[in-house]
Amino acid sequence: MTTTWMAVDADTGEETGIVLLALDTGRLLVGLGAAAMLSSVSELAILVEEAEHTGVLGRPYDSLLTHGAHMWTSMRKALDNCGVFALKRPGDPRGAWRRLHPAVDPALPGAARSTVALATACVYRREQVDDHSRRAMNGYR
Amino acid sequence: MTTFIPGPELLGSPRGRRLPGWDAASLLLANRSLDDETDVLVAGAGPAGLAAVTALWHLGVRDVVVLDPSGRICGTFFDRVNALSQSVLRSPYEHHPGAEGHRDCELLDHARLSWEQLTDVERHQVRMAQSGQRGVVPLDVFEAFVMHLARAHQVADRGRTGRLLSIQRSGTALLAETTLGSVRAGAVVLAMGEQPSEAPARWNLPNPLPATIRHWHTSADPVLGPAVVVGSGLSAAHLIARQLQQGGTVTWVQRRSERYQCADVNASFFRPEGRAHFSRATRDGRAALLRQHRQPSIMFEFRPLLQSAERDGRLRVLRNTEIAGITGDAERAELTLEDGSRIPARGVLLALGTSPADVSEVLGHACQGSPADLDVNDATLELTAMPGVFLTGAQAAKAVGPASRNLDGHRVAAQRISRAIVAASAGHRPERTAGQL
Repeated sequence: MTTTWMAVDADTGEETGIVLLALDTGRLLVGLGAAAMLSSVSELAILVEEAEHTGVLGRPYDSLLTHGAHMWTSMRKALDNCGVFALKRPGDPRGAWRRLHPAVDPALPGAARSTVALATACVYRREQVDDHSRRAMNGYR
Repeated sequence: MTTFIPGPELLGSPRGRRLPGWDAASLLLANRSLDDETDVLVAGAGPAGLAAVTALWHLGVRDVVVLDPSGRICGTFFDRVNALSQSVLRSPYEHHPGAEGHRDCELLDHARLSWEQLTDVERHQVRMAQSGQRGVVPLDVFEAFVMHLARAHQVADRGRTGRLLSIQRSGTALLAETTLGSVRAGAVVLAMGEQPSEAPARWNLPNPLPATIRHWHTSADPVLGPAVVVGSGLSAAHLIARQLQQGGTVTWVQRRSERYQCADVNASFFRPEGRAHFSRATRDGRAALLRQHRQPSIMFEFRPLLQSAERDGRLRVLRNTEIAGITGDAERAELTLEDGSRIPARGVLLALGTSPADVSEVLGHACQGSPADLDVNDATLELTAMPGVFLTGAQAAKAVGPASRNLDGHRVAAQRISRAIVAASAGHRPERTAGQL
């Protein structure tokens, strides 16, 4: 029987991924917008939080949010074409990560590790992310 | 209440890893002059001061100056734990120096973002914390988290390297004299931490101290030869462990006023019901609770090492012993006990505990009598004798209870203080410039 219990030898990417799954959708989009700057998902998650406080991560926070929203909208089609949205989302986040991340990775060829991780979290939370993206592209934070 | 019994494996955390978010520059206070005015002056950039600044930040109070003589955020704190070769905090993960009630990344999340570099023991502690059990925090994780907090709340930019000398009322504001000049502040938060306790005068310590007699916080170098450690708290345990791990022998002197106890501050004091229990106590009752919980204590993780060293003769423990004097020169030191016996050593390490920094000089005539008698409003931590001045950290023990010295107590204090400052700003600072707090 496969268990999704939290092991101490859990994969690093999975552990940070589970943290991403619980981030505010705004932070997910900003992370997506800034992912090209950093390949380390952990460093990116920390910098995004700091940017939410200070308003800047290389460029203004709101501008990264809009950029992230556009990126999400454009990568959605590629994800859909690969059948990512047809996958069931298990209720437990760890199980969801293990199912979604391997599907998102090949759907975004050439993408940075941090982009794939953030896109996986966006897929998992897509209803909220879609809503936030629409608002962000209309100028709302 | 569940008793927390950590094992010796916790002491094996590595130190010096550069975990995600690590950047030493984040802790360096800005090297600028003081402005003439500020909304809030925080004296002390240690964990209590950091908690105060982050709490104020989340309530929109950004015109804050943080003053610290070390020039670094949590500088004294890290110097002291490094001098002990300490590698884990005693605090559990839920005690962190961030602001209360905000969706900031918490210490536990930060540890998980560092997963790749954590040992299996450290990962297990994370899992314990996720399961609602107590899990202790590696100092490397804590240090990277403090750096993150400092950057997120722009604490370094608000910092100045200097010392608060005095405060006096000036109209409806406060005039603070500092080593960098004077500044008018709407409020002053005293987060001045704890000072290592002095040795009793009757010991006649040489002045200046030779290199063979050292206080616990002054050096991380082990004694090269037989050592004597005086004291019975966590600092003493770290010093003894370091000597034993270097292959040395130790004589451990526990004075009559001390006892070795495998215990920690009662966890209930960190919970709302514990704080309510403390707040309901009479003045004498509070003093008794504080005395009881100021006893030095050593956590269980040291016990196997100390017991085995005592069994095989590497550690000699003198319990219930009083010291008559300590002498020393550049080569060796010697302890004389009250019964006249002498203990020669290559070095004597003094781990005599800490006591809250004396704020009476800063407060001047507003502090009549002992600093311990300062009257503080429980709900706001504001000094009765000097409105606008707030106490946090160890100085707030009379209002917050035994937890005041702990990270969690700092956060509780910061919440009370920041709310009080914001409430007072709504019309009670008529001399402040328009647009400021």
